[in-house]
Amino acid sequence: MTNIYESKHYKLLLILPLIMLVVMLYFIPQVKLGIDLRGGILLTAPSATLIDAVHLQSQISSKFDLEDLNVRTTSGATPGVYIELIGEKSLLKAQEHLEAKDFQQVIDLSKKFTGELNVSGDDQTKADAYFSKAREIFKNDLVAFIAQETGVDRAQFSVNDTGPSLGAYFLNQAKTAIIIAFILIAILIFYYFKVPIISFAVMQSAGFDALLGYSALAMLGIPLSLATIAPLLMLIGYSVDTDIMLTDRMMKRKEGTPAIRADGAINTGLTMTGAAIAAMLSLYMVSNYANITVLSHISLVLVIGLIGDIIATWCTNAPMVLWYLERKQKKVVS
Amino acid sequence: MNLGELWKERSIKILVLSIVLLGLLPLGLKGLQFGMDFTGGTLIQVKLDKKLEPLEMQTVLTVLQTRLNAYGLKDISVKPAGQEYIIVAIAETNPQAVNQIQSLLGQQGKFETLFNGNLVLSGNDIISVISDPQKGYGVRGGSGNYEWIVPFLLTNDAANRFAQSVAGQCTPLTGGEQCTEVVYMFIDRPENAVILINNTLYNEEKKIPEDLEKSPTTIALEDLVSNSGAELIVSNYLDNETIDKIKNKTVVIAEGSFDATTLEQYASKVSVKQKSASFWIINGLNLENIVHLTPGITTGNPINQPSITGRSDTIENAVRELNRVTILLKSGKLPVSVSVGSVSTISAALGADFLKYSAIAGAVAGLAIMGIVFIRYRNIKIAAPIILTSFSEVFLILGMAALIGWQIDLVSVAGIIAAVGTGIDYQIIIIDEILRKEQEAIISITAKIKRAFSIIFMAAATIIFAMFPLIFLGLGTLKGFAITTILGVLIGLLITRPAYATIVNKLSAKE
Repeated sequence: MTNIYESKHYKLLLILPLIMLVVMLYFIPQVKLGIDLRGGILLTAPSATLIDAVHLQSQISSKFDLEDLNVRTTSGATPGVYIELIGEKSLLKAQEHLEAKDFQQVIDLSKKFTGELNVSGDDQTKADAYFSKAREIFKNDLVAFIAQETGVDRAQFSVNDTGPSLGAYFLNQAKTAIIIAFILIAILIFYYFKVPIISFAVMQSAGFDALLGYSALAMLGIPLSLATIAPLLMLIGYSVDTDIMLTDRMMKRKEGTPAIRADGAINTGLTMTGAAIAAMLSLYMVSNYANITVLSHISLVLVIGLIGDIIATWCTNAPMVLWYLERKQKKVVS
Repeated sequence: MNLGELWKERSIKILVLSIVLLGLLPLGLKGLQFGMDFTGGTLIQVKLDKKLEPLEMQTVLTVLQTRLNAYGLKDISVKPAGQEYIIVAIAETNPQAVNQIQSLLGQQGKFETLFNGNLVLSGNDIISVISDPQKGYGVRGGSGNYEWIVPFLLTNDAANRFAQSVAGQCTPLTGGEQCTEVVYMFIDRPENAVILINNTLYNEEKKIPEDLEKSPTTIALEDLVSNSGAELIVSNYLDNETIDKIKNKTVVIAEGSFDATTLEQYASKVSVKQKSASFWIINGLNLENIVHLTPGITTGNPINQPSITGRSDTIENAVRELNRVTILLKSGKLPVSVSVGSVSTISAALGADFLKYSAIAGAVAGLAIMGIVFIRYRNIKIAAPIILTSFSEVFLILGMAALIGWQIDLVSVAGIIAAVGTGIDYQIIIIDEILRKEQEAIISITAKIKRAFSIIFMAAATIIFAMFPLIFLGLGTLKGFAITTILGVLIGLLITRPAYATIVNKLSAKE
């Protein structure tokens, strides 16, 4: 195989990641937040019989006034039904009023579910009591209705209910985690390579992979949740493995030309990434078959991010380091 | 290469020793603990209204723990997540029970005062517990008769409501200081309950003294139970009629009287109560106090500061009771208001499925890695040590998890697979470094391995740095991911990788 880095036009390699970046920037704003980061209700239940998702969706919509209802059925090892919604419309309004401290409005809206409640205390206490009771009653009604429609026993339902404020807290913490991780790694890499442009070449790969993983969420319709933040951080760590290996060999070795050294690193790098992709792909296939959503989402994001790592490492990192070394060489010669 | 020769190497000794001490021993003795993802259960996130200092947080945790224990739950964990959240994990998955627990956590303590079978005061009416001895709080008396008093402050609303509900309800007793009418105070009164007792206990407790100790005036057991809103069944054995009556009810029984497991088949909940006060029924109903109304109270004027009192024969018991009532009343007044943020239940059947398929996924991932390694090197001598190293790594991570009591959940599984994946990366770096044909002067294998390790150290450090923030932020499940990944990378770096390098070194020296 010819060595692409010996060609004069090796800088053209940068075109591919640039095109990808444009596509990614298109998808990034479309990422949806999952229940645990945005608040909402997720109901899952196993079902031996086949459930008509479209029919169930229209049944639920006609009975309840819901925001963003999404009914899916799953097949495979653990077939079942998967129902996701942000909330009941009047309760969501009540939630807004609660945040704005319009307590009477909260009580009025909640009464639709609770009727008169015997609570005492100040307005806030009352509004809180009404609202939480209304939420609970709505949730119970919803589960009871779905149980009745699907014929699945109520006890079989897994219910995940997150309030919007907790979701916002998690999202905030997650952003902090990613920023701190990036800063720590940047310091570490700069300490190791000493040269800013080289450190950037390594770091861009981490950023590229994490962004690709993130935009993959939008492309595949996977919501950003606590579970899918994990692979994004993992990608930051994973991607620099190959970049450090490549950059170390190009910068710190003496034998051959930098282009030859870069080419020599390809085999090692592709085996590394290939092994990781193979592991994650098989994890994806099994967890997708068994409907273990958490694992299938994590592994799918990792697979895509790792494919991106091949681009980021060999089409961006390598040419950048090569270009830096060539310039350095010219300076020495002239 | 023979094994005796390998054993001489320090890194191999460390590996073998680690596998025994950190892998085999913890896994064999303590066993692996599985999280809720695999065992089934419910995770409840409780949000606090403001950030709490550690001391306040401890109070809240204790109170919630006390409440959950009072509810009758055994396998519970109550942990803070950051300063604003508490995560409660329970083994319960029944939706009704989960609902009750949810309201138990999100509400104030269940203090109730009943008059004529009607609720006239509840925990929500209490503003605060007055723990000032000047205002009556504390234990008084002596020589086998100690009285404890816990005064508390009512909201104006409640004081008015109470005054109205007892207004004019006084039939004066002789002497005229008290009325015949009484109110009953409970903390955690059993709801929707049946009190099931046998004839012996019934005969002992037919008449309950009004001061719950030895006063000559008594209340019939039937009246007391019906005033608490419960139903009394006196029976020596479980006949069909009894079974019919306890269906979907909470059954309260005395310790050692009926078989709880049998009752559990019929009742919605079985509560086994010990006898610690003079009369069992006091514990059975969680009755705190019986108070006579006085003509002054029934005039319709609000009383803002009632109290709960009780008697004990020793000062220790009196103090214990005083503290318990204080804690329970105060538990109605947590330092902040709380709300339940998220509730997620995983049924046990689903959890078992998850565990099975996680194990399969791990095995398949292992096979896939093996495949890639074989395709690349086409040499069993290179591939076999890689696979062996990865196996010992998984084993060590699981052993360490057992050792520190970390519960394995779904995200941890992803963490383990990710850690092993990076482990493979480092072994590939080592093996490629050794196999590379050098154009410059021939370098020894040891020097090559040393060079590989500088890359590996750097790469491992970045992964650890990437995971580091997750451990300290209140992100619940992601903590498990970070811990298993960091654990795996460290094990790889310090234990398995040096051993791998030694084996490869020996193998290639042979050739």
